[in-house]
Amino acid sequence: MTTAAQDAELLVRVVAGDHDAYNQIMRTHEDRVFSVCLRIMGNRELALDATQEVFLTAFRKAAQFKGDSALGTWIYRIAVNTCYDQLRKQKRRRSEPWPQHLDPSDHSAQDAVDAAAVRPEIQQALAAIPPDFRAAIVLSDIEGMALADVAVVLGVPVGTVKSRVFRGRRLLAAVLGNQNQ
Amino acid sequence: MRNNELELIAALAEGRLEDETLARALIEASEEHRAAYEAQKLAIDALRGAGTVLMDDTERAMLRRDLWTALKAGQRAQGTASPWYYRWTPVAAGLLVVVGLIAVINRGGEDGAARGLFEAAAETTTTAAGDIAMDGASGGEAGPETAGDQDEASSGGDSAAPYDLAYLIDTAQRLRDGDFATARLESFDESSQADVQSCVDDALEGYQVLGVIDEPALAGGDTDTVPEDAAPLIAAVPQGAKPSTAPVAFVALSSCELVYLDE
Repeated sequence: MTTAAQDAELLVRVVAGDHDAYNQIMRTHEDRVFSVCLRIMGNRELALDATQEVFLTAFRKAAQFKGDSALGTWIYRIAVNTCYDQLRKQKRRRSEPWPQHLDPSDHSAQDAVDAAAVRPEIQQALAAIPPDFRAAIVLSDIEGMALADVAVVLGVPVGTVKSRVFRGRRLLAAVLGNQNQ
Repeated sequence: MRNNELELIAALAEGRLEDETLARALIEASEEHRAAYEAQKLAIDALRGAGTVLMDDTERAMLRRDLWTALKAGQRAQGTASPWYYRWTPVAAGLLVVVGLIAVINRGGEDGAARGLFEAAAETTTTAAGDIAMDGASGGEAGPETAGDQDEASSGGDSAAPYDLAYLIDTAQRLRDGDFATARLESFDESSQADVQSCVDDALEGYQVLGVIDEPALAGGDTDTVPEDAAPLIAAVPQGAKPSTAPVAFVALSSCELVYLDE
């Protein structure tokens, strides 16, 4: 985990053209960015595309980072906004049907599911709730971010985050309850 | 429900309360509050058990490769952007010729010769204007090179002949299979290791040298009879990736240009 001072130094080097510094930033954050993108996008290919777009954007905007939040928080904000943009482009509210090779009912595909370590019913339930609520509970309950940081990432007040998290969980519970019936 | 009640219920479901007395009393006092608590608890437990998602090695390598390819393409486009007036240079040249010819004609040169020259100049101007119109339709400046395009697997240097695409694809597969001998992959002098890696870094970010192929096949050439002047190729794979599953890249040693990248 890098400190704020280390992050600042890395970004100075990135702006100066040091690609090794940017590789280091990527190594620190790429897994969490991918995780957030996958949870929000609900599709692995789309999540990979979004992840690439996130780091492209972060590289191009490195000079604009002011240090008023942690570098990770800034990158996750780019990630959420990128996912929102991608979802708007996709123009759909539900995730695509689970790929056949990852169908939990297909025992031969179980290894792939285990390797991906994604519970399909959770992912499908997440895809069924509005993106705003989805992003809030992904950041708060899956990624374990503090509500204040989630508020910075989403660009909304903490009170709004609390409301979205509460309502998102309620919607999620309703979807999961319907799945179990 | 009031906001403070919602917060209390959420805090109870999250396990954040040191003293749960008040919260417990709230959910026991009302069916609505109890249902709200159970929904929060169900969702929280499900999300906390959602599992970890990670990219695999290949996805990670492709992310790095595609990212740096896109960034380099963007940098090249910025670097090669021509001033706006460059595209009008052919037209200006044509107009100068026309003006000059008009001056010659007006001075009473031979009709036949002047007419021929005039027609040639007019054609030049028309052609230049047509080129500009086509440039405008296609977006203007020449697009940046795109690494990894298998249809353009040519060497980067002006003097090097294009490499045989089928050979590159086949050799990449041999390297993934670990058949370095047939692929003619060789190690290189340790003293030049830094230079070779630097050459790869110029072409691609995040790739490490696997070895050098001294005698790659050129386009149309027989792989068994390779010309002596064929430029050596550096074989590289993404840093930290296993060659057996990694996208292989070939970089021309002479020009440090990417000549092939697995898709």
